[in-house]
Amino acid sequence: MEGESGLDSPSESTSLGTTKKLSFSEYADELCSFYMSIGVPYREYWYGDYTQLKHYFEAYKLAEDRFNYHAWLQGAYVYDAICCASPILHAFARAGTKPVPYPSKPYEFQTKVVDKEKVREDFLARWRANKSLWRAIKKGGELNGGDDRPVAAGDQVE
Amino acid sequence: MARTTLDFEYPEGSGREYSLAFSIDTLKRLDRAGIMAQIVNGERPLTMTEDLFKAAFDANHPDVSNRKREEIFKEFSDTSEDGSLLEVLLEMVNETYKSMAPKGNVKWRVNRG
Repeated sequence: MEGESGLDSPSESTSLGTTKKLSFSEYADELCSFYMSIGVPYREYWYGDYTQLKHYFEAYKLAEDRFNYHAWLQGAYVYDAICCASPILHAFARAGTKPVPYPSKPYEFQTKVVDKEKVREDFLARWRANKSLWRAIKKGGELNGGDDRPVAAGDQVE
Repeated sequence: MARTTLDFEYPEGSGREYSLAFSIDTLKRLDRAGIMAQIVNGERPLTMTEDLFKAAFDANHPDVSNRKREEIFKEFSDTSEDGSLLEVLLEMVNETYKSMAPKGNVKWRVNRG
């Protein structure tokens, strides 16, 4: 009969590792603080449309992802800065050593979607176009007795 | 997606529309009255339908008196169009409960092979 309603009491772990069943009220109270921490107003949570909670949570996850990306980006900039300064950071750097200049522009966001198949086709097209040219060069080299060195000033020209 | 509601007009032809729904606050009060525990335990006392029906007014029509709610409940026919009234109300309770839990990214299902 329990499965019929689809409801099951949520549980929480205690310090002893045993689980304690939460009543619905306790569960709702606990979730209230969580939802308020991600921006759901108190009245909205208790009296509003509960289907909006899902969207609040999705928005929270997106914001967290963005925050995580920014933290990563900051780390990348710091790493770059250290790498640029690294030539002068060690004790035995030669006199006059200069640091590598820090990138003048911030990183660009990659907005273009790279189509791997198109890149491959472009490469093959360029390959085919160059192939005949390489052949001609190679053939010329063979006609020259297999000597395809560049002509030097002291060489006898027939 | 909006929440599931139980919509009707009472008295019929009067133009007075009712839209019954549950909020988390309503469920909390039902829990304090012991009804949520009964639902979880699979108990279905005869008064459950009436209790749930009357509680469902709180979200959108809190100003409707208890006497009026009882009156409407007595008039309310137990249609089998979308299942019994109790089943519909339980489904609404269940939907509220399920919508509360924060969902993660992992999609999973139980395979009872």
